[in-house]
Amino acid sequence: MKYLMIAAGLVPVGFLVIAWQLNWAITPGGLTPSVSDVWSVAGTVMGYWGVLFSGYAAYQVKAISEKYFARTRFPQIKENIDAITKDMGKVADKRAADLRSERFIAAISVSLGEVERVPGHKMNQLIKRAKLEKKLLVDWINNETQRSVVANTEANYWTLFRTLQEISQEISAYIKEQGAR
Amino acid sequence: MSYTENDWVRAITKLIELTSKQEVSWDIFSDYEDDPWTTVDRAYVALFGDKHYAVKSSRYKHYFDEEDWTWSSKFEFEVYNRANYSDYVKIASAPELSVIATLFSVVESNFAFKQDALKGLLG
Repeated sequence: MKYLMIAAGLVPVGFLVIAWQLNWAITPGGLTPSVSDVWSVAGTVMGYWGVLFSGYAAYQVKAISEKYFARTRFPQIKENIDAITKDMGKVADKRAADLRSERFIAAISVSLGEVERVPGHKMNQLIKRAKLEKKLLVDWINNETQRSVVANTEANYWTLFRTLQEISQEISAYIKEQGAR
Repeated sequence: MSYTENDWVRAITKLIELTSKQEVSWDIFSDYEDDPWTTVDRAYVALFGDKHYAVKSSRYKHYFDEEDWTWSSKFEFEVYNRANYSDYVKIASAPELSVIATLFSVVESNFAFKQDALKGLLG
């Protein structure tokens, strides 16, 4: 971003140098610019830089506000995800039909959505996987032929569990990284 | 070669799975390696394969400066070797992972169930 800014800042200077080298008449006074021509060119360049820097400032403010949003949201989201995995560990010996009334199944989608809405998280792959696995789990729970099968024999139950743990792990790594900055 | 955090997460998840399936059983553990800076509140150990896996809930003093401190809690997961009923030898301890807290709570509720904690009341 810094180098892009410097490059963008040098564009008018480069243009003027090229125009001077190739003898382009870019001012109304022709090849011998008057004092007012010089001032108007200088003013234009200054105005251009002003726009550039205010754009850069706005971009940085956005980056900082996103960083603080993540910093305040992520610890809470992590707690929610850890609560879900704790629940999952505890009710794993229940039958599929009994899992329908468990609160954590609905909470998974909510927590995944919360992670998604935090900008700059870089966890899209994991979230996509977790969503798919959650869908498979719900399908499995709702499958009438599986009513009395115990959850901990279902491989997908543990895959989802592990994915959620990975997300929680990623979040704590993110929090640590942000704290170090 | 060394184990990554992801390896630990996978291993501990496997242990949670096995605990939930009643394939490993946990007991109270007291022969853990002591660390003067932490107080262990509760520790459980399970034998699986030829390794003993221990999960501990412990407290340590978290200092804000030289004088002010509070109790902070943490969960630890360790692997022990024990040859022919000799002493436990710690061979590995896990990094700080949130999955350990999950394992501890699963083990705790599993242990309570195994000990028939509510037997007389539910009959």
